[in-house]
Amino acid sequence: MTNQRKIAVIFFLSCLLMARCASLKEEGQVILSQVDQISEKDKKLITMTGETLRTSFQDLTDEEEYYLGRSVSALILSRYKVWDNQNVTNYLNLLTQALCLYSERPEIFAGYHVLPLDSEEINALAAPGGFIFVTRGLLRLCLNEDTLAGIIAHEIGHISARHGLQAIKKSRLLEAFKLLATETAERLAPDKMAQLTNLFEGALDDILIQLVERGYDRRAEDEADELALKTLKKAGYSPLGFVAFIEELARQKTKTSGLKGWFSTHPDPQERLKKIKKEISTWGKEIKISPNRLVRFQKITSTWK
Amino acid sequence: MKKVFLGITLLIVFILGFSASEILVIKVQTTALRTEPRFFASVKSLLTFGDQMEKVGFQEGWYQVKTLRGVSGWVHSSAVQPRPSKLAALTQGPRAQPTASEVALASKGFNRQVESAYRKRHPEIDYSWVDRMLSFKADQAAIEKFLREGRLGEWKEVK
Repeated sequence: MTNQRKIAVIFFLSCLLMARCASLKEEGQVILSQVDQISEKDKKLITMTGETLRTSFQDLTDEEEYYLGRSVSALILSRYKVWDNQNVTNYLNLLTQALCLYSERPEIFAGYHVLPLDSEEINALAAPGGFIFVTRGLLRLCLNEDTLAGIIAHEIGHISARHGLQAIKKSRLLEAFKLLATETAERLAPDKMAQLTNLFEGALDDILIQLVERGYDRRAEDEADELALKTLKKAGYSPLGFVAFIEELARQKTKTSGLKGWFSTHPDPQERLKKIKKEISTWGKEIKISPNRLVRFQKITSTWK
Repeated sequence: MKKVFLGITLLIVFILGFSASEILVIKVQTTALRTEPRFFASVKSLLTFGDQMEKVGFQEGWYQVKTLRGVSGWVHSSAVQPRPSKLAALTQGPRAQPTASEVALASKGFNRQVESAYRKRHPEIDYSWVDRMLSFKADQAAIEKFLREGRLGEWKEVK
C-alpha cells in the first residue's frame, strides 16, 4: 500500500469516527432542548456529568421503584395487621412467582412477593417494586386457584405498567431529577440529601393516597385487567375464575352500600365484566378450569378458610 | 512507520466496532444467564446488578448476550437495559468496571441512603415485615413442580 493510500484509509476511518461523535452529540442536544424546565446553567452541569436527562416516572430506575415500594409497603403495613400464616404465605408466593413468569414484566428489581393481611375487608394492593398484599376477606371469596390467579395477575399488571409510580406529582419528580442531575459531587451534600428525602416522602404520600384512598382511574384498571388476561392466557389459567370474582363483587356491591377496600378504589364491576367477557369470547376452548388445580386449591385452603 | 499506521488503524476500528455494538446492563439484583430463551432452561451463570454484556441477538422477549468473560447465553429483556450514557459509551466500549462517575451517578436517586434518612425521621414506621417479605422466595424446582402439577405454562393441557 502506498503512503497516499494509507493516508486515505486513515482519513476515511477518522471521518467515520467523527460522524459517530457528531451524531451522539446531536442526540444529547436534542434531549436537552426538549426540557424547558431546566435552566441553561443546569443544562451545562448535566452535560458535564454525562447523565441522561430524566423527565417522567418512566425514567425512574428499577432500583428507585424498589426503594419507593419498600417504604410504601411499610406504610400500608402501618394501616393493616399481617396474617402471619406460613402455609398461606408460602402458597401465595409460589403462585405469584410462577405466574409472574408469564407476565409482561417477569423480572423486577428484587422479585415479586406477597403478604396476606388479617382483615375482613375485600382488598388487594400492589406497591411499586413487586410488593403485593391480599386481605383474608378477599381470599375467602376465592373458590378456586384460577380466581386467585386472576386477582394476583391484575396486581402484577399494575406493577408491570408502573401505575403506582404514575401517582407521583410531575413537579415533584422533575425537582428530584433536576437535583440529582445537576449534582456533580459523588455524594449528596447534607442539605441536598434533606431536600431529596422531602421529595421521597412526598412521592410516598402521592402513591399511598392513590393505592389506599383514591384508587386508580378507569384507564389504569382496564389496563391491569387486560394485562391480567394476557398473563392468565399465557400461563394456562382459565379466566372464568376472575370473571366469577368480578361477578361476586357486583353482587356484594348491590347488596351493601358504603363498602371499603376494592369497592371504593375500583371502577364499577359491571363495566369491567363487559370488557373482560368480550375479550375472553375469543379464547375458544382454553377456558376450562383444570380439575388438578381444583383439588390442589381445596386441599390447601381447607386449613385456612 | 508501518507499525504506527497499523496501530492507528486497529485503534480506530476497535473504537468504531465497540461504539456500534449495543451494551446491556443488568438492572435487577440478580438474574440467570440461560442456555435457551426460556425460564426453565439450564442456568449457565448468575448475573448481578450492574453487570455488562454485549447484545448478540433478540428473540421473543429474550436477549442473546455475551458476557465480558466471553460466556454466551440468554437473559430476559425485563432484567436488562441499554447502558445509560451513550455519550460515555462512545470511547469506552464494554468494561468490567464502571467509572467512578458512573458509580457516583448510579448511587444517587431514591436509594438505600434516602430510605435511611426517611427512616431516621420516622422511627415509628416498621420495616420488619417488608424485610421478611423479601425472604419469601420459591426456588426454581418448586415453581416448576407447581406449574407441572397444575398443568400450567409449558405443562398446560393441549386441547
